[in-house]
Amino acid sequence: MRFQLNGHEVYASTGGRDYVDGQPYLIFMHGAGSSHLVWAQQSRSFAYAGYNVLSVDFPGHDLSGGEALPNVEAQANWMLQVMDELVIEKAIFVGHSQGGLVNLAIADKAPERVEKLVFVATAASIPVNDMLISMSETKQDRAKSLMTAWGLGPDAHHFENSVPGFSNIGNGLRTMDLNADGSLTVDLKACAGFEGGMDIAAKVQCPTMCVLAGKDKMTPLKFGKKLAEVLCNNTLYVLTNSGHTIPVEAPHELNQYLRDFLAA
Amino acid sequence: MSDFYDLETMALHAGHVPDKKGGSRAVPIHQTTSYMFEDSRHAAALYNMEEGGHLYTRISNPTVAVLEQRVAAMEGGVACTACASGMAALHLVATMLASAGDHIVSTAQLYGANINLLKNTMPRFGVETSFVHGRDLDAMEAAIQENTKFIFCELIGNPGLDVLDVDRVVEIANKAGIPVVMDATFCTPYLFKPFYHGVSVIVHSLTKWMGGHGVAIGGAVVDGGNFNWGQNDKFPTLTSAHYALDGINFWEEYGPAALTMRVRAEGMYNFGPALSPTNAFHLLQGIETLPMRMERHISNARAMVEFLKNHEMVSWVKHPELEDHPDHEIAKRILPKGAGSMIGFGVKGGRAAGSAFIESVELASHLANVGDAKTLVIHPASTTHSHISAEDMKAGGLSEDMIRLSVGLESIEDLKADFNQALKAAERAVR
Repeated sequence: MRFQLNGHEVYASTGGRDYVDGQPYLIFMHGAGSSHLVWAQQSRSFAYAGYNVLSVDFPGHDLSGGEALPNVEAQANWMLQVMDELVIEKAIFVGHSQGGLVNLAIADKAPERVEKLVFVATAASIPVNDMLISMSETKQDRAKSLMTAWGLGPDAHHFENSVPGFSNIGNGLRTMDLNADGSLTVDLKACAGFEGGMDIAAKVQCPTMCVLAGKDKMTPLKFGKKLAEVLCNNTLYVLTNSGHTIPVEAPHELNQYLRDFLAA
Repeated sequence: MSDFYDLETMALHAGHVPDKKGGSRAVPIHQTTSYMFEDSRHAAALYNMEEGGHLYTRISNPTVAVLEQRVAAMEGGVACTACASGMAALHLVATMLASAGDHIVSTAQLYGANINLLKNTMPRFGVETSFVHGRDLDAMEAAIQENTKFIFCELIGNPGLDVLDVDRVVEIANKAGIPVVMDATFCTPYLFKPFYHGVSVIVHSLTKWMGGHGVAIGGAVVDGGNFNWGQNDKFPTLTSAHYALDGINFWEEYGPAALTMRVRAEGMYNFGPALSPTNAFHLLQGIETLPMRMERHISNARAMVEFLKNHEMVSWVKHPELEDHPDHEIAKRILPKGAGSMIGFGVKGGRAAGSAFIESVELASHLANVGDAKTLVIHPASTTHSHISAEDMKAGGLSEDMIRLSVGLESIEDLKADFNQALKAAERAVR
């Protein structure tokens, strides 16, 4: 799906299906340096399972135009604008990494528009190493390589993959290449600048699920668990051998957890 | 230290984590045609490409997938599709990117069957190819038309051993908004990484150096994921609605891996050039030792070049590492680990002497293959390239007296001794 917003084209995958009136909306939000492509094995799957799927490219990412948004609050506001544009009153939000922070910001700004929240490999705050931010400005390719390496678990480093012939390393690197220059730095600074996540999480009333990774070097498990503890109505799953990029590293498990959670 | 495993490690490990159920350290051979679905949802999801997995071995197979993931890893690509042969790989790429009315630009310095596919078969389906000399880059640029879909090339031409200035070819392709597709069989990822030079798609005959043992035929399409298929309207097979799968748009849904998904969804599904799981297993055994074998191939090739160059019965020797090779400087720049283990040479006395040489070797094998662990020799003009015209042979850098030598891994002293006695037999034959 492509449409205009604030003078720029927005792309969002619907999982290959037109919307059906009355179906719940399921919104997937990607992490820093990523795009809708990280959800390739979720968006189509849930679009054919009774959901109106919207897997967005935030501005400056892959097929969406414009510049990357400077902070998590701006990303949440943009997401709410997208919902207004598409006349989506309420949705289930699934956020990976930085997308999980956007989950929290949306829950803070517009709790009435949130049906359920799913946090995938994330936490209530994501401090970012200053060296990585600086590297993303001066040695972008090196930063992308490091993030891809840190973002994937041991099986992905062995090129194990449930999609025949795929390399999660190769796809991770190329996905970042498709984003607008400079967007990675903006994303990393947005993550680093987000505060108050635990306070927001403590106020969330809707059902939530956290799916965390045991081998996560980007948002270590212990921080994700702290978020899960604060969320009052939470289901927690830990994928012990996955790295940070759960949607591509453990798609079958994540999809099963999602199916169970959405059906509950 | 790299962020990821080095080539030597990938050659042994990539694509396979030891089986958690059976504990098998080796890659198991999944000799099956089909796979149990978990339930009706799972079956529908696999058919609809909603999630990864295997449904029928014509499309994918767990053993073949290990091979694919290993090759993708070693080349630094986003994905790989293995298939029945290197020729199947080129056919898959050509038919996924080009349709009736489209056009391809190719270097003329190619393997004979590659020439035949592009020159004689594809035109019957409405796809024409313009052939240009790999050194004439102005002609290459001029040959590109509005309907040109890609530039095809071999880095080291077979059998002429011309070395392509790939960086300049990529510049020409980028300017035209089309990808470079390279047959990288002769270099393997040990000698050259095409994606790091801007090539977008690699085709391999895995039968050759990658397998190395000469027991299994196989091919691969490796997707670099570095080409923006959406930058223009030249690639509707990837950027517009597919005829099946509810009109899926591969570029939008899979981005860098769009070509691979089309190859899988249409190429493997409709054409069916599947690689057998057992052949995939054999090829994996070979790939495990590729880096060590390539070191030896290169050192033996260098020694044989020296030997032949100084032999009184040899009229000429062709290898890109020789200073008189027209592409010597290019080879030095882009192939620092070695310019391959293929050598061309002529035996004094012409075709009759060449024939006597071929029939007199005792250690080297006279057969139609290259890249085997064993040393191989053949007379291309009467065999591998006998189906192409004299004009195309000349364009490909092929002469009537040429002996094509694929240097193997034997003791170099034994090889020299064998060649010496065969060259003496050739001398006696024409004396």
